[in-house]
Amino acid sequence: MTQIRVSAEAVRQLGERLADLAAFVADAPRAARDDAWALGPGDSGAALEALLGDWEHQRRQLAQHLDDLAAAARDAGAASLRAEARAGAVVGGPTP
Amino acid sequence: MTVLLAPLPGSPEVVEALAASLRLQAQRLATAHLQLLDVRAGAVWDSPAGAAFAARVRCLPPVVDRVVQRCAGAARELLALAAVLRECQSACERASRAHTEAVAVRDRFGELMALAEASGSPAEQARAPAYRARMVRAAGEVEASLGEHARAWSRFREADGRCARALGALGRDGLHDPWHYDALTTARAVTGSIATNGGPLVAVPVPALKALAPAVAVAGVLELGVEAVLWGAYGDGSGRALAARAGAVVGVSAAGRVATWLKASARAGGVTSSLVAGPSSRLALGARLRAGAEDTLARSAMVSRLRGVKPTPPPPNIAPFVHRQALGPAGGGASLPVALRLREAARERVLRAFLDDWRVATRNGRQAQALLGGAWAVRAGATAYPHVGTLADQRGAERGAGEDSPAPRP
Repeated sequence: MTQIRVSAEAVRQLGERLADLAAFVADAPRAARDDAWALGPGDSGAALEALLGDWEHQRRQLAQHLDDLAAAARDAGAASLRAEARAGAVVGGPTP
Repeated sequence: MTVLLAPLPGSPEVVEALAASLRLQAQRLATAHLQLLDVRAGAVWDSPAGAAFAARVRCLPPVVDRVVQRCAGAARELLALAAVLRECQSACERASRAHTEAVAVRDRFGELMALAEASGSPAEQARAPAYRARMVRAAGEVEASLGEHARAWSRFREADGRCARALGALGRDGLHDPWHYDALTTARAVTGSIATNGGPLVAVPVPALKALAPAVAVAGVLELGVEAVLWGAYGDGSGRALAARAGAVVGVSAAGRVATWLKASARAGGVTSSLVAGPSSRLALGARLRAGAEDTLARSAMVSRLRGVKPTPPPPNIAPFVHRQALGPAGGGASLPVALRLREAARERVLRAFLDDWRVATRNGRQAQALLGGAWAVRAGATAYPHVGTLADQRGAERGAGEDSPAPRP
């Protein structure tokens, strides 16, 4: 039996969040590299860069998966919203 | 001359902003991960679409928790470092200011003391001890400011070392790339650096730099090979870019050698007959590439040996082979349908070899398939580039001519 306890809008928002996170995961080392100077003259800048970027292959894979999930969630959310709107219109509810 | 004490570089504000951003992303990632886990468990979205989405969520690499820990931990350490950095920068600035003032006072009273001692006036000479005392006090202040400055730097170095060690410890969570991936990316960086930076050097008309040309060319070939392996085995980069580089950067003959090596690697360990089905020995990537290189070298050596062998002349009672097509229809040569059949047969031979490579690579596993794809991409790029390059040059020349000529009137 179909049981949905998450709204279509929430699914769509999850897609947006996942897309943001995919971009963050992909760009994290760049941010660390750009701001490393601010950590002062020492080893912390390089250590931060390694921490955020020294897993390039896994990072790319994770970003790709998050991106795929984001696209799927956005599509599913938008489709559910359209379906709900149509169903609402059929039973006499407010039309979008 | 005023000696300024070295300021402590860095920006606590930027570090705090970076830490805040990392903490925020860690929270968002953790929240999204929890939602994804709920979806995966079917707790909140139980429908065919939810099930399909949950199936995709199951493919998510199990590393999100570790990424969250890394970001949150890094934010914590950065905030601590930013606080120390701010204190130490203030201390350095204070010490530098005090040092400048104390040096000026010390020098001034030193001069006054020297003048007083050299003076013939007893009243002036009587002031000399006071000047000396003031000079000595100022010298003490100079020492104190130097000490404060050194202590501030030392405090920062300690905090920096602590932060670097903590960040390093956060990184020891098992979230890292395989060593061979790291080795390949390092090799790509090194060869790429040689090929990129060596190119302009070789162009300089100095014999010593010209001698670098072979090394630069080899570096270019190696870089292409490493890129092809990274694309084939790990999905890094794109086949189109690889194909473009194969022709544009390295040159057709070198790209051919790379393609041959990749194809031999893809086939390594596999049964060479297309009639035999079933799994073959699954080599690890390193062993596969090594076997491919050995096979390519062996074939290359065999070809070199064969080149040295003179062809055996045909026996006198057998006419030398002449393609019948060359004789034409009047000379009993092939008619058009026969020529077509010959062409079809040649095409079929190529296709059979192509499919045989693919079958062997398929039996050898996904990495072998990908390596074979890399070989085809490199070969295609090397074949297509001269045409594409010529077209691009022509278009460039046309555009250049168009820019030089006056614009047409509307």
